Amino acid sequence: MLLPFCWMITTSIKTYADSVQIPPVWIPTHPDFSWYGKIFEQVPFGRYYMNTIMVAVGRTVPQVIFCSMAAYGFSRLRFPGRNVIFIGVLAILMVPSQVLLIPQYYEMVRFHWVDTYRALIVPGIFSAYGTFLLRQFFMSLPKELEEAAIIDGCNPWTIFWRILLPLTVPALSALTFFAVLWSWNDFIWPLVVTNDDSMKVLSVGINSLQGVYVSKQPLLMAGAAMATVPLLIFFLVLQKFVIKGITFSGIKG
Amino acid sequence: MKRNRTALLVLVILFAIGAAACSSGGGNNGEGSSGGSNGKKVDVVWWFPAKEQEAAMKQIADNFNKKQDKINLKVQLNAGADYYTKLQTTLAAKNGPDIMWMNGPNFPKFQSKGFLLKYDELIERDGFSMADFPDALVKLYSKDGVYGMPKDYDTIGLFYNKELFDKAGVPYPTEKWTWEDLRNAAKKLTIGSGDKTTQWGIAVPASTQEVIYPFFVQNGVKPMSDDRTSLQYDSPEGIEAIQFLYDLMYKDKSSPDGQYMTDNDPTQLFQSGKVAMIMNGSWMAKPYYDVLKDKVDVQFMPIEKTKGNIIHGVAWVANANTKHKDETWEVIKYLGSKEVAMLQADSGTVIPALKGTQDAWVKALPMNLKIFTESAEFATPYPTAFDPEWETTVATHLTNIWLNKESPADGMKKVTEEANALLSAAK
Amino acid sequence: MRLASETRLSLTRPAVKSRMRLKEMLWGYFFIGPVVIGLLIFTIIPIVASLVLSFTSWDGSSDVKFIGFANFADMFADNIYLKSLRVTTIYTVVTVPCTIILSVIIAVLLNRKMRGRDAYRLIFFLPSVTMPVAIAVVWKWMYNGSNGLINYLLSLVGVDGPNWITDERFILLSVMIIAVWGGIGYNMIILLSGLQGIPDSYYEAAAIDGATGWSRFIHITMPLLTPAIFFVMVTSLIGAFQVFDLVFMLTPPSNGGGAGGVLQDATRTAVYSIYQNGFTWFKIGYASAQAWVLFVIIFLITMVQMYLQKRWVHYE
Repeated sequence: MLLPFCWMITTSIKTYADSVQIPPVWIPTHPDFSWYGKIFEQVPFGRYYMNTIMVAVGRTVPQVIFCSMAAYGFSRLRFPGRNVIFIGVLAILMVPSQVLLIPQYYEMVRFHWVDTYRALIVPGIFSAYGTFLLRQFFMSLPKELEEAAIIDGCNPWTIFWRILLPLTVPALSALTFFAVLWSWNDFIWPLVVTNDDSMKVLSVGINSLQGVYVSKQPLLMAGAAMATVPLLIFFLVLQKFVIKGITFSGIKG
Repeated sequence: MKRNRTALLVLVILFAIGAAACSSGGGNNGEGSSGGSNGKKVDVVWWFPAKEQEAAMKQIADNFNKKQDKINLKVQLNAGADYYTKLQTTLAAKNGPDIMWMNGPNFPKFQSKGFLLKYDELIERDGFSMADFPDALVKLYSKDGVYGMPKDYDTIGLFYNKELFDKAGVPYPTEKWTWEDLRNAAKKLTIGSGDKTTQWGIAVPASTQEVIYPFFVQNGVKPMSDDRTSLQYDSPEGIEAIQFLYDLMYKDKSSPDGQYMTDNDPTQLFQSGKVAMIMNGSWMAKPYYDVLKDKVDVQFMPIEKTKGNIIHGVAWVANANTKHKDETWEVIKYLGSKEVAMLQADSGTVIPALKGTQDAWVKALPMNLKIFTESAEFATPYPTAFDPEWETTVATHLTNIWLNKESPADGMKKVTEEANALLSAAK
Repeated sequence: MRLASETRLSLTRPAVKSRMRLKEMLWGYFFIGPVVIGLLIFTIIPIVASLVLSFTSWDGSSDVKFIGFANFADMFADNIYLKSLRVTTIYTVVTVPCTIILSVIIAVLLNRKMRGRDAYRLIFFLPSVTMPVAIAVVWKWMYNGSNGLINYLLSLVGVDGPNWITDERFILLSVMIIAVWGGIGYNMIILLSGLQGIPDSYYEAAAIDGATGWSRFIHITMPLLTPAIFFVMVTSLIGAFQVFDLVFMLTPPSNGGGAGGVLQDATRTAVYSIYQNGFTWFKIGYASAQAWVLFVIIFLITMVQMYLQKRWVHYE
């Protein structure tokens, strides 16, 4: 589990000569930290960071809200076509994304969204995966929870927002984490919909460090290491939050 | 708790507005050829995928923009390996840049779909001369007309590790070397105990551009017929070339075999001093020098029936759907100018295509780099055809031969049958 | 699927009942509205476009020519695609159960109170955040037939290891091992949040009844975890049928732009074939048709799962 990660870190401080040896050199003979500096010289890394964070937040916050709403609707309310629509949402996951790239890009062209944050963010908000995930969690919550509220005459929004949502905090944080992770690692979509250097995200920027003819592994790994650190911190923080979530829901339940 | 939620909601709304505002402010720049005019200037968008050439490309764009006030040339780097995927997606959606980097194997695919602009009319109108570029490169980007402005080129050389030659007491390769000389030297440079080889004389990966095709042409086999509709890899000479390479791996064992070279990158084996000779394109000179310093040098490819080499180069092609054809052509003409060629040569990254501008590149490293430019004079163009699948057939059977799953004769026979069926159907 | 409001509504009078139904319906559409509309615009329309393209010979150029079911007919004669479906099936049948069983075990273990729990969770999740290039380099080194770690370890116990990624009999296995290794982290997160959603009061009640650790696991943990396991099953299966990046990483197209040889034959998955047709050969219409056949296969299997879930998934 740890090996590739360690490899990424040690390679990022290898000299070019060390990085091409066979058999591979694990411990750099002459640690060389200059690759980290070179990255800042070669690409506007700060700008990439900012874009990546904006896209991640912009996608994740509405995604968690909309998906939990839809999950509540699909699991707790009754309306015509519910099951058919739900199967339809699920079916979206089954179409290989590769064949959707050209039509989706074409939409962006028609909307005049190419090279904008809208193209990076908006299509990434609506998630069939997230809807399905949260629906499963809503399904596992006891019905007795809302019955009292229904008798009190609370409307579905209140039930959803006050009673059920707080109980799904662990699932919400899981979805939050996935949404951030996928947005962070998303590559082909940001690559295709942005052209200008100022619009690039980390995954695209780091990939462009690979040359056409020769790629320098240490440079690539230094970039990757810097892109990964915020994700790790985020993961650890969220873990704590999940724990808090349970004690909170434990009191209520 | 309630306040927190309200705050969250406000935050979301603010963010949504912020994102929208940002995008309308910073957006609309470089939407391919539909990009609006900047003042009175016309935007021309220009894409390339090679990070290592970014500095030179930016310099070229700056120089061009300073020279005139009609056109605003926007240069954009678009990531390496996925460049052609992006190009295809954007062009299929009737978008994409005005000017783009193109390589040989991809040219027929894009040209045959009508994505690219034919230059002939423009060349004639302006009396532009294509004669200053190597003929092979112009041909590489032609199909009933010229579609590409040659940018740079590469040829193949035999790199060798002087230190390993000195240790084994073997004289360095010369320009007169034949296959037999190569083979004998490789044997002498191979060191091992029992089953385990610790040093190989040579590495011959199944790379079409760097190994297979050069060996074909040295043995008098054309990699592709002139009308691009058939191959003759199953001719005795074709099989002989493959058999020679196969024997280096499986008979002499002076090259690592296909399995070993799949596990271990041959260029890295050479950089690690595990292999004494390797055939590679001119683009490997710099990375080899960076690691091996003065231990590495390069020589002409060996000769069999004839001197032979493979030339390939990148060209600038234009979007057939460009909204600014004349302005785009203005830029392309500039990209074919001596000024641009010299700028590229000075950067030391590639050999510029324009005749008489290669000196700076040759002098960039203390190696015998002139063999690459001299090889261009007798080199055969990298084979391309209008059916995209034939290369897969070649790769399939070469891989099988290299992994010792098919014999050279069988494999070449199958390649020829399958590829010829595809090629003649595409005609 | 049982509906939450069924019992309640049956108690009310007909007129009130229908008014409440209407209200509930409107609320239902309100809740699912944003996601459904968003998906409609950004995903369903492109999906319909790809369905239309699957009946054409479109290659990216301007003219779109309808050719009826020719693409689908071609597929039955396309040995490469048929074989890729077989490879995909083997891959799915092996990796999905292995990943799920391991993820459940690890999630349950890491849900206990123990020292360094966060660190362990992080370790299992590292593969998901590590750059694919680094993963590829390290695994290639581990699998290296002559100087790799795995064969070195095998040699210590006297086993002569195979060429993991250069022998067509082993390469698919090698890909599957990485898939399981990399998939545990994702599933673990979902299962952990499932475990943490189980109210402590259930365990407390069980403790009063004198239930032991194992019987608590069987009677409380497992049933309450089944919705999460069901989710993991369905999504892992869909993901496995669409596997691509992993194969691409280990056996990239060889020089010359095409994928070739016995190694590619042994690992070419359905989506790899779709990618190859669509992006290497520009046969976009045909690639779309292949994608739709794959879709139908996944859809049918998922529907079977949806049907069978009644037997084992425990919803409240």
